[in-house]
Amino acid sequence: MIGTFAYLILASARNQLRARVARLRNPRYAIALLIGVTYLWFVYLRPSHDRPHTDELFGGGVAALLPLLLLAFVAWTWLSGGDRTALAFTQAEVTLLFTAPVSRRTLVLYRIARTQLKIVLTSLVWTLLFQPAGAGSGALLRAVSYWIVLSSVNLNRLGVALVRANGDVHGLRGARRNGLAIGVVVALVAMVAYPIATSWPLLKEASGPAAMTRVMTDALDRPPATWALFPFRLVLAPLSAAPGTAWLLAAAPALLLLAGMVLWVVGTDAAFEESAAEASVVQARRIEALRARRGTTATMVRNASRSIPLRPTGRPAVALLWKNAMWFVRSGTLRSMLLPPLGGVLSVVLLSSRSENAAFVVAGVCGVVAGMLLLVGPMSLRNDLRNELLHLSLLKTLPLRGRDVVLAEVASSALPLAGAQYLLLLVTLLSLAFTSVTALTPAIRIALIIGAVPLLVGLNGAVSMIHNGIALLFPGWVRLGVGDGGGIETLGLGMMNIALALAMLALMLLVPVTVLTIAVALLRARLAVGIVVGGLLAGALLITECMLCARALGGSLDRVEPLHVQG
Amino acid sequence: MIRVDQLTRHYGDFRAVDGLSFAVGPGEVMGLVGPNGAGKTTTLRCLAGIIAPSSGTVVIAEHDIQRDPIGAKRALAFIPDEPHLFEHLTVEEHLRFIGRLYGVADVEARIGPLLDEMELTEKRRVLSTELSRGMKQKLAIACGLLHDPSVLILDEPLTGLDPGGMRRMRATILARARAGAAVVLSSHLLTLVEELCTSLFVVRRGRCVASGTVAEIVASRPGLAGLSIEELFMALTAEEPAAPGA
Repeated sequence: MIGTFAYLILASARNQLRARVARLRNPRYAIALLIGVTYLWFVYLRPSHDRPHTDELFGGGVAALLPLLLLAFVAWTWLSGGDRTALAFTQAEVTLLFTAPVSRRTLVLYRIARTQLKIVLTSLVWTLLFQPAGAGSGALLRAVSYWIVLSSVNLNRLGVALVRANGDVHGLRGARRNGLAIGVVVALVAMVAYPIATSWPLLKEASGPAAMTRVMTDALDRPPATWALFPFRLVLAPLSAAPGTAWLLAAAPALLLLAGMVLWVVGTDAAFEESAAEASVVQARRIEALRARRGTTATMVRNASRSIPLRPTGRPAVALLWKNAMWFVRSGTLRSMLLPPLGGVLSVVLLSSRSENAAFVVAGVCGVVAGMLLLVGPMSLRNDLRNELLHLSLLKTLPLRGRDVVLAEVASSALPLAGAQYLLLLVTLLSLAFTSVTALTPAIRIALIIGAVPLLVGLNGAVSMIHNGIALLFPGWVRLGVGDGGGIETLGLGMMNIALALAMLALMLLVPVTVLTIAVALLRARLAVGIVVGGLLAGALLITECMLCARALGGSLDRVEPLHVQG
Repeated sequence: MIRVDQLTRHYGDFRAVDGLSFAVGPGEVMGLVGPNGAGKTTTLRCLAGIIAPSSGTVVIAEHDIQRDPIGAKRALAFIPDEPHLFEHLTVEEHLRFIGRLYGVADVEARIGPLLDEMELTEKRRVLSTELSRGMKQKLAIACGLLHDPSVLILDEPLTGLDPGGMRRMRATILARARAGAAVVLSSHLLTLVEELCTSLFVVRRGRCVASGTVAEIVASRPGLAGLSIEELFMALTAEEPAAPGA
């Protein structure tokens, strides 16, 4: 049976690799791979690259803190309930393997083995990326060391999911087991927290990260912390061991611990199948949601309590805007976008009125976040045509013109982004009111508040239009859903898209920025008026450009077919 | 209501649909049948405006789907075998969304009866992700019927429905046809086709091999007389033996 599962894992991996190599025949993937490799080489792998090692940053104590971080992660997985999808099998596996004459133990072993390919690959990548100071040899041993750490973390994740599932299935008995495990974790955390708490006065006095690390290291080297951290140090020991006998002596107990964890996970009871099947359904839903919402913005919507009214009559395309707004509200994206401005307002109230420096910091942070949101926001908030293209069959049956669809979809991501940036701008201006900056007179502030409205709408519309346009015109160049996978070529594709988007944005900004500059220059005697006029004109020009783009892209949307987008 | 003339569709060098012509009038239910890969779904997708014909014309309720897609789409409903729903909308919100798209002013008045008809009333405030496969199909059907379409295009509409749901769906299709809708129904359930359809359009390898009422088809091929619908289908869609030396 083990041979059968090994065949399944290896054949799947081989076919995935073949498919990935085969798609390199397509120039876009070949070019993207080249760009991705070049980027990785220059950023991480170039021999002459002069980047500081982690040990230099933390005064050589980083290795001592790693067990603490590992304990924190493990504690978090236990206390937060873990991730049930750790037990997940694919729908095909549930259908074909759960019904096959295969023991539960074999299934769990298969589940563990299936993740090994990813863990091995990650270990190799980490070996390349994270080189301890002075390391130049023993790459293979370092890769094995990373593999031990990652496998241990993965087994812990699986174990948490199993214990939680037992708790659900076996009622009180399961709850006791669950409670016992959590009790042990809490005890370990307490054993580590106590010496840190007693060292708190020294930590407060420490100057800089290196001194703080030294204080922490001293605290963690005292009992009871050293007892609590023992298993975590055991797992991490091979990473810092010298090649040769020392490494073997460090790796042997770590491997024994790993074997013990495998036995613990494999020795699970009958609750496994039920829990695994349930987790598989959850995972299948997540994948479906990811495919529907295209990757990064995928969020499981669980409740329908919040709603927005929709009038039954009026412009039909507004229905698309409403639909996307509903996702925005229900997925929690609105909440997370409102947090920075609200945090800014709170900071203004608490800090800016008391200290000029704090006011500058709040203004600077809000300004930078607004700027970042303008550039990065449209890439991450894909609540528009980029989500909808995989539903193209449905979209094509709707009685809407292509340009109306494009406008509604672009507005779905551009308007919330513009709103969030506007709020951040307001906070920035409010913070600056508590500083000694005199250039921003009340008249100029009001001018900025007025002029920013059309400008931000136009700017965000332009950026979102560009990203939507790229997705519509070159669907193969944009990452689609989760099926496309990762890889260096995907990284390269992303970089190509960013370069293309920046070039297009520069082109779209050419006339509006010229008009804005001329307006401000001509009216410099009355700067506030210049800002308002310039902002209105530049915003109007950008919005006009967006309308023209929507017209052109609408024609493309009318012509494009599902096969072109998905193929 | 539906007029198709010399409809042809290529995928590269492959001709999926080859010169199909037919018409479906008000109150008629045409069964589009054929083996897998015959070109049924491609034909339906051309009718629904999802893909464009390579040549030929499709006219829906007097609107050429190529020249006036909006007018044509307002008149039709396409119900695919796989329901496409939005995960973040509830059952009744899907209907409100469709109502706005099609300008259904009395959408609120229609939602109740439609949900009753589809047995979804208890689920009206439930997200689509929480529905079973059959309920999702019912919701997709409800979305299609909300704006009272004059043309119904159904691709395996009973997939996932329970026996009760199938019976109600059959009644719904008949009721819509009696109310004057033109219906094109594609299904491998030949008993359903036999029960509902006023005419058949049999395709194989993208071409029409027979069309008309069962009586007309049998009249044109006397050898088929007395066969069951399944035997008729097998006889009409059977591959011709390869020519010697081919």
